[in-house]
Amino acid sequence: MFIIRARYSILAGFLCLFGILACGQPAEPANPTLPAATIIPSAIVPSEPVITGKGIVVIQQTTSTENVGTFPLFQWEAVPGAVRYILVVKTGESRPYWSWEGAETSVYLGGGGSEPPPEGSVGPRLFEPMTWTVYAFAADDRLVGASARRPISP
Amino acid sequence: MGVLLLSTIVTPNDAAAQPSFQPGLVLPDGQWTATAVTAGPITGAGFAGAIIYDGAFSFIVTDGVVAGDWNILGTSNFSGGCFSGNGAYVIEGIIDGTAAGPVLRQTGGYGNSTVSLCDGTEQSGPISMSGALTAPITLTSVSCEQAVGHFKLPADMAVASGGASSDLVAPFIATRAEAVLSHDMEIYSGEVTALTLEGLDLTNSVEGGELLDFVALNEILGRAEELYRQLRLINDCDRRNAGEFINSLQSTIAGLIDTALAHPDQFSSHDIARLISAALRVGLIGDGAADPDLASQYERELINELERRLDEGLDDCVDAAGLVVGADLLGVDGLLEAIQTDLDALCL
Repeated sequence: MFIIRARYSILAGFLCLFGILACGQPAEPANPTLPAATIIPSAIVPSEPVITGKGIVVIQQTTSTENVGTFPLFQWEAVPGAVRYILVVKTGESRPYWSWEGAETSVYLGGGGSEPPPEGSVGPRLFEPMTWTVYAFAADDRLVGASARRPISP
Repeated sequence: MGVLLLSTIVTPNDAAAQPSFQPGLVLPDGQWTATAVTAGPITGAGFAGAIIYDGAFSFIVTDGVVAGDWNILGTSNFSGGCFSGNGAYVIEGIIDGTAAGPVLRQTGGYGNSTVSLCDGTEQSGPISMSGALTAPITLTSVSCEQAVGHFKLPADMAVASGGASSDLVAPFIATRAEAVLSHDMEIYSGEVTALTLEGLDLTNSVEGGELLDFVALNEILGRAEELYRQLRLINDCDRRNAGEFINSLQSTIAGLIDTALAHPDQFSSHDIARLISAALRVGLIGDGAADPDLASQYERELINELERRLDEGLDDCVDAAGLVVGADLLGVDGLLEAIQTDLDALCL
């Protein structure tokens, strides 16, 4: 989370002292109101998996968190022993939005092929910052991997 | 529930449980093409069989008024003892009414049947069509590009082939012509029909007691998504939400969920989680649903099912994992936390 702290420059203070600038009380450093679409830099992306347990590895998600466009490609590293994955995308308010199941370790939002959907096409689309999580399952339906809830924004 | 059943025979009680017309679901102006595929058993004096209905609809909505035409092909096979037969007939008519409540009205029909008799001979002849279908269409999801709904085919529709056991509910899947990038509505509609038929086969097998073939289900879901890419956004109508979408297999998934909730012993917790994923994938539930009210109903039913399974006690690690993933898919954090505790205990 970017937090911008306002500081008086030494120059401004100097100019106030000598009456060159009409200065009132020094402004308190203000915590700015964050925009609705807050961009979270990769350095502080959550890494704690959504679900933990014995035998459940943390799935490493590799898609960038920002500037991914309307139909991002969700990618993650394969989990040993996994035969299928379930992915879920949630809105900024943590409401479920779209999901997918498959054997691959990548899928475009909206599915439907190895190429991104054409711009302007219908279907699920990244119209606001969202999060995504992926689960890995073995052939006997055991959960063998779970990722964090990773942010993503268009 | 029982809103979007595909092939399950609708008893009078089931028909009464379907939601009534919901104001706010209105077809935007434009040229539309729709399909409707359903199937069911037929019975007659000493014989039984099955019938499939395959409908094609073309209409224009102008200033909220619907005008167009349609035809429904019914093909049947039946047998009884030493005789067997088949029939094929077409009923046709007009579609009118309002953009919020279109209505199908039959204007004609014709058909032919062939029966192989016990003495080895065959008889063929025209089918006598009786009655006139008048069926209001109930819309359940509407976007600027697509619409999903259903209408009832009454039992005596199949009288030419002996008679249906009960009324059938046919899913109505409509697409605006302006949305199809290739502008080839015939090919697009044909592919929607093909996918719906395959979905119908899956639903029939599950209703017959077989386990759901998720490999086959995900295969047709993937093909439906490929088909979906042929549609472009049309922003000339008011959307209920910015990211809404409708997948043509929405009716299929709704029918499978209805079956799973009616026969929970036939589905593991992992199966339920996979169905929840499929429901999100087609825009039946979640914030992508074009009908938030319908989505809320299904979400509530699925949460209830997860809670019921938790209350009954979890069998093992796999059972717990299915529920915890299902809870996260539905965004029920409290339930997810409750199940996580069981998961830790069962998956030692």
